[in-house]
Amino acid sequence: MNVKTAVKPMTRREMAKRLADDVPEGWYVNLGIGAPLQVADYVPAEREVVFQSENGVLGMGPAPAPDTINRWLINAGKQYVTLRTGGSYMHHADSFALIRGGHLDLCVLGAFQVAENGDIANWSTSDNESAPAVGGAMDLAAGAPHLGDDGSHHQDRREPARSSLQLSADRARLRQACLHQSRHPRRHRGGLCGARDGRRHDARRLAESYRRAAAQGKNVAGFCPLRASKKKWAG
Amino acid sequence: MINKIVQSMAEAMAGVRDGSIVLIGGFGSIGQPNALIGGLIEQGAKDLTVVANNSGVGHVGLAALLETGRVRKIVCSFPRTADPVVFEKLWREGRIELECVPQGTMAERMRAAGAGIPAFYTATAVGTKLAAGKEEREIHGRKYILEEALYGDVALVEAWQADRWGNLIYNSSARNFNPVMAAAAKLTIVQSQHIVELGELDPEKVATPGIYVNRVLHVPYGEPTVT
Repeated sequence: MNVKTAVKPMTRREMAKRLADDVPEGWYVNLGIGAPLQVADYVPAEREVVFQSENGVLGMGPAPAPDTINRWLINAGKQYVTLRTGGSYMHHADSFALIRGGHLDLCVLGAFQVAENGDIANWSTSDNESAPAVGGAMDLAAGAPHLGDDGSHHQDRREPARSSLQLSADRARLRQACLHQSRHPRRHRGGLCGARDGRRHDARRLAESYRRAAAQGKNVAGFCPLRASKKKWAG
Repeated sequence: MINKIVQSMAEAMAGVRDGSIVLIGGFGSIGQPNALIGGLIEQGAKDLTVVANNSGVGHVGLAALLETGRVRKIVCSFPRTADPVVFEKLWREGRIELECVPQGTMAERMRAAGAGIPAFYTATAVGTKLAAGKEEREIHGRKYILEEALYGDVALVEAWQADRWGNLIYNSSARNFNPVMAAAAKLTIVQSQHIVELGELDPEKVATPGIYVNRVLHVPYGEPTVT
């Protein structure tokens, strides 16, 4: 890929490690399919972080050893996983009730695009070769950052624009970004993004630089945390 | 004596009509009642609307049903899977209608149907293409759209254990959409790996009470293949 920037790109593994460093003990975290799932690998076992998978798993653990696979236990990306001690199962309506009800602390989504207002696009309808597929990302984007934790709900509540996804993405310019948002904006300023230069950026600033670069005709991939994946989604 | 256990696939599928809305459990292949889908193909009902999270993989299960050409429309959150050959072909040829629904909205629409709630407001999909044509309303400063309940004529469900009353227990993440769909349909048909005596299931662990279930067929098929 011809990237017209001097910064050293982060690999997906480095991104995942960087994000994992930010997740404090006690948080309930949903990981989107694809690259975000790797975040779980970098949270140390002694730090109790509870990972949720949209298909009804709370307390998801790492991949099992080949001889201990439970064939009925998969994650959102349809890979075999384990259940941590203390974990539980629920049906789909309950799983999304906890997502949409604002009970998660954090969700990590793989996205195609980040807009300057914080909107993200996680799927495209402009490609006529394949059908649109939204999955659970809209529910996560609308639900995960919804509530504050300190009583000042109205101050901490995000504007609606931040919770909506733009779906008119032009596939030719789609790039995969990684955006995570918090329901505790004071503790953990929402919209932090890991970037290719290894520093963290506010999502708005990242998106702004993305927009400026694109306007100047630069290859915007240089400003995105992750390169576009050619691999088909498993979701 | 209540006995919802049926002895044959023909008995399980009896009376499924053309034009039915069929809710099919599963997240990918896990929890997907492939034997019942086979039974529905055998039974021959056509002009169906299928509600399922994915759109089938390869040429088995849900994909095999789509391949018969008897599914007019699919309501689905993620019609992209590892190998969605059948669906993609039908979709490109304009031979199947797709209603793409956010996964949580899909689950909640069926939960609402089972709970007698005709519609509800949600923030999911506000301001996006998927909100087109839907009533929008601001409540306490946030925008929501109105989503209607999603009722099924038939639900096809996979369980781990069942008794003759139709009480069901699931296995791990194979629970997924199954309990929600069982409650949302007029006729709920279950395939279960194990049939146990009434009283053997721990009442604290029953995830679908028998009131939502009409028929149970014993299908000890073994282990699913993840797709």
